[in-house]
Amino acid sequence: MITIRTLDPVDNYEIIISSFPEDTSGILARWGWINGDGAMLVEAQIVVLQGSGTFATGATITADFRPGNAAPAYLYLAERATEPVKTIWYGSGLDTGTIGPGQTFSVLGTVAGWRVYRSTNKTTFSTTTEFRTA
Amino acid sequence: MAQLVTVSRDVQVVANFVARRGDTFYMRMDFLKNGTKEDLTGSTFKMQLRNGISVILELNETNGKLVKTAGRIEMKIPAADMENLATGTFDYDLQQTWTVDSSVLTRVKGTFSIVVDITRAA
Repeated sequence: MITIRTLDPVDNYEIIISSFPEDTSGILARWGWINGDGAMLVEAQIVVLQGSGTFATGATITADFRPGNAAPAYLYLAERATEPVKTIWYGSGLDTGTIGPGQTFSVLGTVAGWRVYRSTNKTTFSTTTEFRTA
Repeated sequence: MAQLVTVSRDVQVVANFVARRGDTFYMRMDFLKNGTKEDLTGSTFKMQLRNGISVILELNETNGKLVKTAGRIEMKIPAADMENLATGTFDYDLQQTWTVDSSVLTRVKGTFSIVVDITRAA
């Protein structure tokens, strides 16, 4: 006898369970720079990223990579996976674009309830970087 | 030669809860599909706690003990309801029913344990 447990080969389903009501006034986001191989982060790396801030749910996240970004490095942003995905990055009026495959930033994936974005290439920013939903 | 195969479609997510009698119970479940909030529109959710065959409590979107928002289910049992529940370990599961074809899928199952409280109203 063989028991087969069916799996969806295409979609990845996750359920995040929390016993505390969400404080929608301040959702934590973390950001930082790593001069490594650009691999997806694990939770232990996310919690020690150099920058952090709290933002209203769904609001634009303003990350500041400048303190450690004098030399090109992979730039990471981690937000709670329950937040609406950010689709626009903005440095200035002439330095902005969409977030996605092949763009300046893209979503690497989710881990431990975090959604992780990363710069496609090692790069530097001379301004703060906004991550927007539209 | 014919081979007997068992294909299981049973729910794969098991979450066991422990709550204190008389305390307000709150639990939040965020459903993600491929990293973004799963679309839960067009469906309703219901959860029952059973002691054997007896339903000791039902949470649904009508009685307000189960609240559905975008990609999220919140379970809210008021302290007054929790005060009236017996202590013990009970079974529960959370069902999703689609309006379009009445199909049903159990998303989460497990045990719901209620432990005795010390400080009580009376």
